[in-house]
Amino acid sequence: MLYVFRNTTAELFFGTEGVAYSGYGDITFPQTDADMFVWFYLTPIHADSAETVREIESYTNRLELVATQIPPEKRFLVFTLENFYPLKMETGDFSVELALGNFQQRLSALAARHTNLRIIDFATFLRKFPDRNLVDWKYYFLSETELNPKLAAPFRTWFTHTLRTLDTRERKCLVLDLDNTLWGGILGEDGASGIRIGGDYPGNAFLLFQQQIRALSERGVILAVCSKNNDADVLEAWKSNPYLALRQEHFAAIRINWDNKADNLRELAEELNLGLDSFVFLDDQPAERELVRSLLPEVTVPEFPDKPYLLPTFFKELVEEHFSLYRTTAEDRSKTEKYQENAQRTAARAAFANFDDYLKSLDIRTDIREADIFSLPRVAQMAQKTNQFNLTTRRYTETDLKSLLNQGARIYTLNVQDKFGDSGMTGALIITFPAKDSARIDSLFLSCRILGRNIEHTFLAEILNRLTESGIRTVTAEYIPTSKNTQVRDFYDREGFSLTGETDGQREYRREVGSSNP
Amino acid sequence: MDPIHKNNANQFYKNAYIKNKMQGQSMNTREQLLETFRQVLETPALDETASQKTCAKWDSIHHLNLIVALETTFDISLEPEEMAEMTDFETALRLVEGKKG
Repeated sequence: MLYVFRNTTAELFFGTEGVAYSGYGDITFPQTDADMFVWFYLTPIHADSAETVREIESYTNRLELVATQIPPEKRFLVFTLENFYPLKMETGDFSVELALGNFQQRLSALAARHTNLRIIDFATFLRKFPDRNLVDWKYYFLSETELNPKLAAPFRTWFTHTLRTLDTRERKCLVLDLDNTLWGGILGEDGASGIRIGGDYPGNAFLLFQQQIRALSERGVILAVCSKNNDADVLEAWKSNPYLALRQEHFAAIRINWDNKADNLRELAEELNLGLDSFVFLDDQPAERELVRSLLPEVTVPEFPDKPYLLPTFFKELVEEHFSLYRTTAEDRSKTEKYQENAQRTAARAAFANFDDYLKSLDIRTDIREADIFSLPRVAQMAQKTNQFNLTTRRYTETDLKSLLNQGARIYTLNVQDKFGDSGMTGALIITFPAKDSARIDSLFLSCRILGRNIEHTFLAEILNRLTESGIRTVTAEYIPTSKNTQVRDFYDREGFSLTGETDGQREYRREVGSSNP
Repeated sequence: MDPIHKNNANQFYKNAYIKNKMQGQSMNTREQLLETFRQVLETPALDETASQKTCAKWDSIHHLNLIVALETTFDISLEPEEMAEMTDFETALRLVEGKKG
C-alpha cells in the first residue's frame, strides 16, 4: 500500500490500485496501514513569482511536518521540486530558483535527520523529455494534472526502476577489455607510449572514461581486466605510461592471455567468489561481445560505443542501468582493497604446512557487537547478497531490520581483522526471543571472504556466551536449504546443537546453554 | 512490492495493446472505439449505450484515462470543451470521426 501526499492530480502516474491519495495540499496524517509514503508535490503555477516563492516555502514547512509524523520503519520517498513553467518577467529574477534551492537544502537536512527518507531525483526523469512536453495545459485546466499524462507510462517504468535501486543491493563487477576500450589503439602494435590516453582526442575521451570508472570503483564496484595481450606488455604500460588513471592496483583480478574470454570470465568469477550474473562486461569488439553473450548468458554485455566521443553518454547510461545505488557505505568504498588483501591471504596460506600454524600467523582479531544505526545498512546489504554461509537466507532490508529491532530482536555484527588488513563487517546474527529464557537464531550469515579461519565457530560461541550471561537457558535455530548453502547444512550439528526435527530438508535445532559449557 | 508494478490496469500499456490489436485486424472506427472503451473502463461487456451516468467505472480518473487513450490511440487532439462534453460513447465516436475525417 502506497500513500501519496500531493498538490496536483497524480492518480494517472501512481495508479489507483493499492494507492491512496491525500487531499490537494492536505497534510492531515491519514489513518492508514500504508507501508510506503510518497511526497509528490509539483512546483505551483502562478502569475507572480513572489507567490510561487511563498507557496514553495509553505510546501517545505508542510513537508518537514509530515516527515516527523511518518513512522520511522516506513519508507518515505520525497520527489525533488522542478520548475515546469519557468516564466521570467525579469531575466535577472532568480527568486524562484533560490526558493527551489532552499527547498533542496532543507530536504537534504531532513533526509539526514530521518533515515527512512529517500530523495527521488525527479530531474533524472524529466530530463528525458523536451521542456515543452512536460505540461499539457489542456489537462492542467481540465483536471489539475500538471505533469503531461502522456508521460505516465515512461514515469512508471522509471519509478519502478528507481525503487529497486533504493534497496541496498549487491554491487556488480565491471570486467574490462583494454585495447580500444580503456585506451585508443592496440598496445601490442603501438607500444606503451603509443596508445592514446590523455592529451588530444581520442586520448582525452578515454582518460575521462578511465577516471569515471575509477571513481565508480571507489564506491564499491569491483574492477577486473579480461584482455587479449601479452601480460608483460600490459604490466609495462601500467608501470610506464604516465597518463593512465587505471593501473594494476585498481583491479581486483586480471586475466591477460590469448585464451577465449568466456573461459577467462568463468575463472574470474571463481577467483573473485562472485556469480557470473554480477558481471558487466565491456569490450569494443562485437565478436567478443557476441561470444560472451552466447556462452555466458548470465553476464551482462552492453553494446559498446564505436566512437570515443560517445563514451560519456554511454557511461552515464551504464551507471543508471547497472550500478545505481542510493547510498554507499564506507565498506563499499574500500571493497576493492579488501579483495586484494584476500588474494594475499590465499597466497600466504600456500606457504604454511600446517593449518593451525597458518591461523596463528594471521593474528586474527574479532570484534562482536550489537548493530547500531550506522551498521544496519551493511547488515541489510549482507542479508541480501550472502548466499553460501547463510543458514536461513532471509533477505531483510534495512526497513525490515528496524522492524525486527522494534519487536525486541537483537542483531549482532562481526568485524574481523588480521595481519593483512581489516575485513570490516563480515557477519551478522539475528536473534529473537520467543519466551522468557529462550532465544532463537533467526538469521546467521557470514561473508565467504572470512571462511576457512574457524571464525564462524568463534562468533557463535561468543554469542551463546553473551546469551547465557543474560539469562537465556535454551537456544533454538534452524537451517533452511537453498541451492547455494549446502555447505552449512551440518553447521549447527558441528556446533553442539541437537537436531529436533527435519521436514523437506528444513532442520530444527535446540541447545541448552547455561550451566552446561563450552 | 510496489503497487505501481502490480497495477495491471496501466492505461498506457493498454493503449499500446489496443493499437497493436487494431492494426492486426481491420476494424472500423466504431469497433476500435468500443475496444478502447472496454479496455480503459475495464468493462468487457460495455456497448454503445455506455455513458458516464450508467457506467459505474466511469469516474473522473477513468474519464481522464479515456481522453488520453483516445488522443493517443487515434492520434487526434481534443479540445477541453470536447473533453468535457464527451460523457457517452456516441458523442465520443462523433468527436473521433470528426477529427479523423
